Amino acid sequence: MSVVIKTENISYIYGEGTPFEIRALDDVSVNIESSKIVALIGHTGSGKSTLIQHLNALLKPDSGRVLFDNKDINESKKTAYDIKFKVGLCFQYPEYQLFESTVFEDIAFGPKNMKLPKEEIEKRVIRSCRFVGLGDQFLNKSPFDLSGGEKRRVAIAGIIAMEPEVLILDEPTAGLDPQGKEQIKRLIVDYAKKTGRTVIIVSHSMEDVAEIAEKIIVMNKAKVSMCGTVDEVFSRADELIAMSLNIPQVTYICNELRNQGYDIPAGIYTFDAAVAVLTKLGKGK
Amino acid sequence: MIRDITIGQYFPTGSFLHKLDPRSKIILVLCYLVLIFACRNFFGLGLIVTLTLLFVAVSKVSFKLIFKGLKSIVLIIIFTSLLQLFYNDKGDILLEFWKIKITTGGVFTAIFMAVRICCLILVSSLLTYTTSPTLLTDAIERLLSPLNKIHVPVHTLAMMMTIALRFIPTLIEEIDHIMSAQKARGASLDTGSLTERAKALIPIFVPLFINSFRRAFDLAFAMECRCYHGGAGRTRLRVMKLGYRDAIAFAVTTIAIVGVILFNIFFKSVI
Repeated sequence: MSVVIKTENISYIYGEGTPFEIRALDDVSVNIESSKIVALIGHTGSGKSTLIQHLNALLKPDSGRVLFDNKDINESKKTAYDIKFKVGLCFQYPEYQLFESTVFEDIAFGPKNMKLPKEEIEKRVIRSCRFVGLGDQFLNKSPFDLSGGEKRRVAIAGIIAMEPEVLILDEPTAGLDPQGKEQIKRLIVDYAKKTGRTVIIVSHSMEDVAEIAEKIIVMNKAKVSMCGTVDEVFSRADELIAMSLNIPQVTYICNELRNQGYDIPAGIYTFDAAVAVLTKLGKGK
Repeated sequence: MIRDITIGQYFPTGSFLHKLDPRSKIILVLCYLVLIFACRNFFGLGLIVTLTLLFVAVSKVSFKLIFKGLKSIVLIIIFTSLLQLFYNDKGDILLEFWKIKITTGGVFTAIFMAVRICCLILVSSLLTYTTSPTLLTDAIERLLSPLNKIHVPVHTLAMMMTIALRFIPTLIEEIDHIMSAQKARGASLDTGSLTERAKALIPIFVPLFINSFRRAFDLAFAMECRCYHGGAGRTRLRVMKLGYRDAIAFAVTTIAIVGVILFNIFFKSVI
């Protein structure tokens, strides 16, 4: 599988030389393969947000390189600017960055900066607005009149409209109600399936990660401590817990049951898988 | 970036200056500011520079950081000094060509101006480097409390100042965050013509204002929920007390004042 983004030994320090100096990234090397959903997990302050801001050249590493398609993205000012359209980054609580008078104009902000022709912008705006599940009637509304979940979707549509090859979402479901969370999750999976593009999500919900991710990167204290498939990562439950992280609750329950002698296989990470195994177990009796 | 601005920040290093009563710090800083402009010859100036450097050393805030703060005003210093150099025609003429005359008076005034501005900035920024914003406004409120008698709402003003100071870092962080988010959508803030750059600020300031109003409402609710009703009858958790440190600081300042006055009397003033 081809690697789309690669970081080579990047380090980054906030506030160098002040008493508040923080080493946010320490010799981080990761590969992001194309057309995969990659989850980035880690304790608060582990360097996740700093890492993703390096992937689209918002931050420049103090040492090391970030490669996109094997080219250094910080090579020149122009490459560092152009990369923002190839690697779309949607920050945490993106709804607080809406500013235009209509939803249409706000989603069009990114494509306009790409200097696309007017018809193309319009097409993309309508397409991405529908994609995030908002009807065309939303386009002329003010983004400030919408509900929290709708605002969030408008903000995500604003990134999707740039049609980036890699979409990065920083805690896209934070602060939403269960229904809103479910909608955003489905949207991410649909997006990855329909476009075949890479999606990186930062998340604190192990359930969500287990459900949608194909690869997990675990960060701890400014370093990458694990990197692998869902199975590989969640089978190391003790280490995750030591990093103040967790494993999905169903996995925890299944592991406990197995320890008590029930015939349950290892590697149950999603609710659906647990239901299947437990019903089988129940019928077997 | 924006985070690099150090003037007005607080650096908790727990030094002698940090432990001084904030009220005495304010009064002493005012004394030094007057003193900086009162001295009229190089002896007095030397005394003030020595004291300023002493304060910087005592504060334990790193030199590198303090001089980084000075860097932002270098242009102002150079500009005022040059102005003095060219427009002051007192004293002997050192150099004369075309219409420009450079005199000893001009050179001295230029040096005085540069040193004075540096000391001014250093001393006043030391006040904020070594005093937390809450303590600072608290002290201002105490110092101004006599004005209550003539119906100046001192407490309200102090509270407004506390809140404003409290939200400066929050707003800086917020601006940083919004800028990153808009840059991620391809906003370019440092290229293009003047009008383009001005327009590029809209995506930053609109969310900033909206979020600030939201914050203000939240804060007002939170204060009301904790029964805040202004200053009347409020007591304090930490009562400020003058200690031996303040005595030392006042003694040093008194010596400095006497020193500068004596220098002014016994030596010829150069500006």
